[in-house]
Amino acid sequence: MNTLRYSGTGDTKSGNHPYRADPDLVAAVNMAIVLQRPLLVKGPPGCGKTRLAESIAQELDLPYFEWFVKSTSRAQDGLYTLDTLRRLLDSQMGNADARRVIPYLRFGALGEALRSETESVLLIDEIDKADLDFPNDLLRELDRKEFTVEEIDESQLTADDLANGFRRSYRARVSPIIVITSNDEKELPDAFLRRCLFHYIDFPSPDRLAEIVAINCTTDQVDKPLVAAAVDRLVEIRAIGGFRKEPATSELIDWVNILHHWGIDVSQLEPQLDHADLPFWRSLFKHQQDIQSIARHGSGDSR
Amino acid sequence: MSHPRQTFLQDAYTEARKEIPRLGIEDLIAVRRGLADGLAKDRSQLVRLCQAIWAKSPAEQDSVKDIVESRLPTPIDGPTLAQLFAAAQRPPDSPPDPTGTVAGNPPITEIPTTPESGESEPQRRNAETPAPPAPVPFMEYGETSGQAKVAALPRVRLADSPHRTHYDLVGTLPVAPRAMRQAFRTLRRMGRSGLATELDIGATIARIVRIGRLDAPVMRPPRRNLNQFLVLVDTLGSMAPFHREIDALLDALPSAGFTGMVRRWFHDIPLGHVYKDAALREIEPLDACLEPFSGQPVLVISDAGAARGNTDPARARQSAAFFAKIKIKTPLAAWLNPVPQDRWSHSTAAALVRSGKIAMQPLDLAGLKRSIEILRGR
Repeated sequence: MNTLRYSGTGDTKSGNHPYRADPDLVAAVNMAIVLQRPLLVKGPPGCGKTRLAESIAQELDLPYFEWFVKSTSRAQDGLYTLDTLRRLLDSQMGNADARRVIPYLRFGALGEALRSETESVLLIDEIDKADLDFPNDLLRELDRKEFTVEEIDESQLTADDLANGFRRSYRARVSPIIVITSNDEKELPDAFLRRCLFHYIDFPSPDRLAEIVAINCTTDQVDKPLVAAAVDRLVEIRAIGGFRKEPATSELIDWVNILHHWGIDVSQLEPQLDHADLPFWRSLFKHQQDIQSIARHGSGDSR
Repeated sequence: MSHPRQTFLQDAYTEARKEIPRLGIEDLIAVRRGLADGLAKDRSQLVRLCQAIWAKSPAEQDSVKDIVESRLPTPIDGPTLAQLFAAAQRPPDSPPDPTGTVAGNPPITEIPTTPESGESEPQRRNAETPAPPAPVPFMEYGETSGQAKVAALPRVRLADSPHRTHYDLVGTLPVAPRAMRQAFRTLRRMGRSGLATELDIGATIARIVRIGRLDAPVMRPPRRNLNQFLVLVDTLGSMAPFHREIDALLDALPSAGFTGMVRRWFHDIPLGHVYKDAALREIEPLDACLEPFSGQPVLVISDAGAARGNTDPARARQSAAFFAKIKIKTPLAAWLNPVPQDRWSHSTAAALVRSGKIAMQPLDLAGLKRSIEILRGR
């Protein structure tokens, strides 16, 4: 039975790294490790979905593979790709290599994770970006942790190839820890969902926000009261609502970095101030209409 | 030999299946395995385990939490609960826990820890006998001989369980949103369009054969869903009671990934123009609206007078003319009526159906699927 356990405290064998997971998320990760199922993680943008897998790999000191899914991604590409064009060109040049498939074989992130001799961590990021059939094409690989390179003819494999670890079919010796993130833009098929565990990362509470910011600041120790004031102001701004994109964790971290860099004093973040009077407040937003709505909200607001 | 009973976990699972039809027996087995592997040592961890395995969205997580908490026996003290979970973790055929008999409680229950017992359970449940008087074995997972034994808890009646924290007072939609989304996903017309970014191996090889050598690879555009989709929605007035279903339907549409989707609103009949917004403010002439959708699917959602319940010949004529106009532009036109079919009789809608001019479908799962078949051109 798997004895690995994730603690989400940000401690690693290679030194501290900035990711803290809340207890529910830690429990979900450990469930996924024990039950050997992929963990599907959803949540608002900027809440740390994508960095979770890396943090697991760093804490447990495991090889880490990542696969950033695009709208043009095919499930096959995550397993392996064959550079057919180069093979065609080589065959024209008379290169003897072109007779064999192996020199043109490249493994994708999922393929590498399944081939790995030891346990590994695999991130499949934004799986809902791809075509609707994409998750279904991965079912067999996720279920049975094996895949086949159809283009390889077993009789072609030389002793060298076998020694280098090339085979026609690969089966994972140990189940990799798979973290799949989704932005919930498209509905995922039921058959795929049933094979995954699910966790929704909520927007962090103000205390956790302060922790996350303190760890993530790129400069040295930021003033704790400054961080606390920034977190409080952010929570107030978020409470206004109606934004196209609400300021989230990453915007908060950027803002605190800017405030710290310019030596802004905590008195400039007083609760009585209008939001539009806060220093560098525009860095919290990504849409002009959100900036305008704050400016309007501030000017007409009576506290 | 103790009789098999519904355990709290099975109760919760059965209840959860009503709200989440996707659940299968493997989901129950997975929770049992999780318990056996020690993933849940107390009540809240058990709830979390069930949430992780059974729920796939925040709304489902809330439902699962309520269901499991309402089925868990009311305050069990810590030591007893921990002991029960410890028992679930022990492999079968191990000797019984020496501290198993708690407070001298009678009948010992058997708790298997292997998944196989879960599979034969549905059959055993059918052979269940009615409840005997208290005290009865409570924590039972079914029987196999030689399993770990642990003391039983007194049976807790469901009436004593804590109330659910959320009640669905609004009721369910005639078609579940998931079913709507999945139905619309089938409305695809795959074709190649856009920039040529994919290597066309067949054409490249053909080119090599023709020229005698490779000079440049032949590229082709990737496949995507070419469907553009126009939805014309009747709103306000007699359509007001159906706004929830209509909203759910309109929300389900974008998930199907159309290259272009347009929504327009009208009231009763679009006499030559439709509106770009649901509040009926911005006008667009009907012809201009239909223009880009030649040969593309067009869906009309309207009660066609069925909600009023009378037959209005003028409205029937105008509706038929409106639909005919659409059909000139595209044969892929369907009409969805949110009023249930048994209420159509003696109304304008029935007259339209009788005349054969409009293939109207009711807004339930079968009707939705039939309309989508029409929109696919079958």
